[in-house]
Amino acid sequence: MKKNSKAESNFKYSEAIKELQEITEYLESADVDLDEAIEKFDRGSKLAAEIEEHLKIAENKIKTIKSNS
Amino acid sequence: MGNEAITVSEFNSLLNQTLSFAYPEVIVEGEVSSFKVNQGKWVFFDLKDEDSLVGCFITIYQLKTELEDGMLIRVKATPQLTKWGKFSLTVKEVELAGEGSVKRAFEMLKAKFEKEGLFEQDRKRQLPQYPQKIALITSNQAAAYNDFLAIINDRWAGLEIEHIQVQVQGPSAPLQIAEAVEYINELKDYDALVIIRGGGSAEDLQAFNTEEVVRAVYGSRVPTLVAIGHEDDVSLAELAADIRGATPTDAARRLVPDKLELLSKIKSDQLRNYSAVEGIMLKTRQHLSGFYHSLEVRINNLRFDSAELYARTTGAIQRALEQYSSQINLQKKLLYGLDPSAILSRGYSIVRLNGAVIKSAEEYKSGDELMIQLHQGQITIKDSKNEEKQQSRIEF
Repeated sequence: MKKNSKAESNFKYSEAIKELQEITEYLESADVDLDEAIEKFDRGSKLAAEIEEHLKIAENKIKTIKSNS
Repeated sequence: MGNEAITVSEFNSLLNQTLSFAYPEVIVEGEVSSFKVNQGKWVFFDLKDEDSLVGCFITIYQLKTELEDGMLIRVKATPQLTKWGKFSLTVKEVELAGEGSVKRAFEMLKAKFEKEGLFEQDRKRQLPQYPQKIALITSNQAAAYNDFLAIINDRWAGLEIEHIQVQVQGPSAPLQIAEAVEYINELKDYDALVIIRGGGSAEDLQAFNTEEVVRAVYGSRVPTLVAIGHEDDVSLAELAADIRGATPTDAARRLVPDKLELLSKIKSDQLRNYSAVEGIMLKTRQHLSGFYHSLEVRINNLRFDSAELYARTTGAIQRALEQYSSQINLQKKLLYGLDPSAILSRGYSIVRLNGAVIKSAEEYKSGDELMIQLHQGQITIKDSKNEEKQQSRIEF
């Protein structure tokens, strides 16, 4: 659990999903170099796996603070 | 009149002491009449029922609700005799009593805020699509709290929720909620600020129609999502929020995406990426084979071009050499013709007098020594038999 919580603190869904979308857009664009495409595809696969992993293992955390009034 | 008299001020003071001892605080319900605000600060009105009437006073800063004549309200107040001898209630809190008053105050406040532009659509912000950390202002005693969390847990993973425990109804609710909003905004570290409360009567939901709460929501720098009561209950706080949830569960759905939908989107994205890479590979292969083909054609063309160029070049050189050679022969012939020794070989001679060639008999004088150059050798003639020599010279 400790390992997970450390990973969660560094992981941002919005950034990972944005990067993955950019990769898809790049790969589907007209002029793409093959070496770069393969490199991007690998990066996309890694991101997809990370997102999937977080959605499966991460927990929603709740902390309550009492109002002063 | 045997008793000792006291001053008017002393009397008023004595009476106020007695009143505050007997009635430190009273809650009185009645209908508002003769409502007026003096100098923008002091609020005066009467509270009445069928038979009686009592004057009330409150400062505008303490009055947290809209008031007008005819409204039924409850006031928490201290009875007091003023120095002018007028009896009145010094009001601390005003609570709307009855659906009619609540509705009327709601309409008045709504009209005021609309005029001020608090509900303008143009200023509404979007919530982040994938929030990491949010603030939740509600009471954990309410069913709404559990409903909200249940939906969040169903749909999403890894959300950090900071819950501020507040009362969501009653007199202290507005201040608690407004302060909680301010507290969250001081920390700034949130993707969204969520305020929820389940269904209830109009009076139960009143806190979310107070100026304090509405202005706090309107002023929040953190984007707001507010869901109060059932779908048909529209509070002013919801109207001032960036996003309104019809119910607390709807708010949860609006706040976080569905992880199953996201997972399926990611899978389809990866499939798209895979087929895109395949397409790129195919395109590259076609491109390369086209490139090799064109390279081959070019090499063949070059081969042909170079053979032709060689033939053309060697031909041109040959022709140039032949031309030079015939020119040289011609030159040689010309030079040969001009050679004096060649002329002598044909039988001509050159006559020189004192080393210089003479071309006329006039140049010769008697006694001169002539040197005749023949093709082979030379003859020197002296003039001892002058006439003969001269004759032979002339013939020559």
